[in-house]
Amino acid sequence: MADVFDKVKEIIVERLDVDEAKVTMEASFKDDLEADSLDVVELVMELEDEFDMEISDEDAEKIQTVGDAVNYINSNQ
Amino acid sequence: MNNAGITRDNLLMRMKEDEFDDVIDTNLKGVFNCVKAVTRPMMKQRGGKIVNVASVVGVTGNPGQTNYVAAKAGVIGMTKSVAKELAARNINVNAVAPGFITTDMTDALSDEAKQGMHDMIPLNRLGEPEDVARVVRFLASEDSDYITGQTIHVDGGMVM
Repeated sequence: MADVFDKVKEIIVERLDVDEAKVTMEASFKDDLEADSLDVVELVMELEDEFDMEISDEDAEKIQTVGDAVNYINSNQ
Repeated sequence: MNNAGITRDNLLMRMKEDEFDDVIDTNLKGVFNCVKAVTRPMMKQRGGKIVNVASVVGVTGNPGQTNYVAAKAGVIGMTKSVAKELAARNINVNAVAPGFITTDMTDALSDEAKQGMHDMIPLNRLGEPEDVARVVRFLASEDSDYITGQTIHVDGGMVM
């Protein structure tokens, strides 16, 4: 669990160029991390590669917070 | 570069739904599918060039080609939308709109029809495939880095 969160955080910090402290489980990509819709699509792509999984467009649309991403990865790996 | 295209010409009143769908599927949806497929690697590498082949009839309309014209006009609109979506990732998306080009399709026309074409073309000749290819090459090269969302007519001045 912690491993997944750390890895996701690392990717977010690098991709969105945000302060590590802002990346909490509750943080919303769009509202708190200032990601636009294309950023989110790109993040999901990167998570797919990193965790070697495929996230359907339908599921991807539901991922709005860091926690959503971490939980999705944990329950689908 | 998205170039696949077919024709199923018929007057609107005689056009079957199949003839409409076939052309839309290949000429418009085919471009959508290919663009979607290349977008992922291009986003990752933070850059890329997409060139779609439209047609001047997508701008002017053409009797007997409701399906083909709808698809080609669709390609021009799609080019603009995708260009706006991907501009932030340094991906250029442009279209070329060829006019009358010497191909098997135009070779089959009568001399009279060919003369009719010449009269419509200010540069007074049909285009060669190379005329189109050179513009595609330009749009795929760094020489066109500051051009996106455009449709370049390669038609000897036929449509201005």
